[in-house]
Amino acid sequence: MKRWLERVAKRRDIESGNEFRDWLAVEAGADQPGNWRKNGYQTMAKQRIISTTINGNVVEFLAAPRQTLLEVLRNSLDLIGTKEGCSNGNCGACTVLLDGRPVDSCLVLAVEVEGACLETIEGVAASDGLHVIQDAFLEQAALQCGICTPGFIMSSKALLDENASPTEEEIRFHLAGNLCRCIGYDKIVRAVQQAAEGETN
Amino acid sequence: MRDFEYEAPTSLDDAVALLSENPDASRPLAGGTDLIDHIRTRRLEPDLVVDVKKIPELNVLEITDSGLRLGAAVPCYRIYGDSQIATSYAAVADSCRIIGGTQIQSRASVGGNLCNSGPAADSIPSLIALAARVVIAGPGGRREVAAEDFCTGPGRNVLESGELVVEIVFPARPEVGGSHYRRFIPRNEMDIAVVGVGVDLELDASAGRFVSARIALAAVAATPLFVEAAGAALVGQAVSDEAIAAAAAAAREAATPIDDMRGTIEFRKHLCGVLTERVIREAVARARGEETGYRIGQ
Repeated sequence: MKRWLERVAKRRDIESGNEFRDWLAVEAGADQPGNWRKNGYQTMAKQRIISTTINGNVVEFLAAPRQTLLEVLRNSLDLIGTKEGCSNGNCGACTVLLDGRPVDSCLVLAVEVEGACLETIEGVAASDGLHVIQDAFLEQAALQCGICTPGFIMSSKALLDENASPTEEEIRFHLAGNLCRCIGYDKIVRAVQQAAEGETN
Repeated sequence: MRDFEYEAPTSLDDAVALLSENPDASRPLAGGTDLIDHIRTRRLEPDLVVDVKKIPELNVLEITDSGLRLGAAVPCYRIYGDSQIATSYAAVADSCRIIGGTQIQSRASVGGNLCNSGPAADSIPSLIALAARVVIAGPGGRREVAAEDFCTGPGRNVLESGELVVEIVFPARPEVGGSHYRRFIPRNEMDIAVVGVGVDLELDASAGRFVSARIALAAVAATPLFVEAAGAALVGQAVSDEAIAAAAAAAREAATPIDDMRGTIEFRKHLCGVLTERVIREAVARARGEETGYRIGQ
């Protein structure tokens, strides 16, 4: 019996990349899908290898279906510039660009980004200096605690990539999905306006 | 987040087969802006999540001679980003521009908004007003349901075990027609409708008389509400303050809202009248090709 368990566990390790959880699950008789309900144990869903491009680099990572893109960026890939705020799509602190579109990475499953092109705050600055939006945020003092800032910069970048000279109203509506609880929004809007002027010039 | 399995089939048949295996423990995933949050908070506990975004039929977005086909997984930004749809099926574009913020609009779909079946869903009154039909696929084959018959209660709808919405189809536009959706919220954006009103109008060739009219309300009943009487108050009438006021009165009359943190019954019924009038005037202006003053947040 023990040898059989070892064999099963080894096979499952290879297939899934999981270790101890599957050991426990197999011992509890949960090697058949659905058995965990009867036995009170849950087998971990299979992890998969996900291949994406992040900030121009091809990146492969292991992720279980239940992991959000935000979790993987921060916990597996050490890209901790992307912040976790509300975790339910209200605050925009975790905004990244997915195939050029701003998304809340807390509402994207990591397994969904297979083959996608991602851009995070870590990829915004050039090697020789800050991006014009980052410079504008500094010059306009458009941040205080800074937790919302990476999200605001990613959203602003998505806006300016699409619309080089937005009106103040367009900026405010575009940034509606990003919340700042320190300084309010006027300085942020001014920073985006300055960045737009900088980019146009 | 709770553990679950994930599949991303590339054909509708495969998706139906996956969802039918264990229908009560499976959920389709389109934009995920509601589903992922519901799983995280354990309001839903699926064992299998079926990502439907790789299925071609659910990504269709096209205007043909017979009307508009809107795949159930098409995200909001693609809808309002299509200038032909934004003009011809303006109410749907109006809805998509105000569902969540930009990040949500990158992912959230009208199909998902419909399947969540919230009484305050911003896209559903537009679907009802524009006489959309919902195409459903399941283990028993395909069927179609009128948008106004889709929702059966808060968070409940006509979908049966193993079924999913494939697309939403809209009839071709009349020669002279206009549609509009707007809602009242205390902020400018990122909020749930206190009341929402969607309307679609057809005018005669002189654009002076109502030929047909469909009006639907959000957040004033257990489901999005189709108010036939409000449309009927306009049909055959000249475009006039009196006709518009009669339609607004019918909308006010049909509403059966609740008191909650967003508004009282009295306030919501009042809003039904005010918004219905404004929405009709905007749709008339659009049908006439006039410059309109509508901006989001008004």
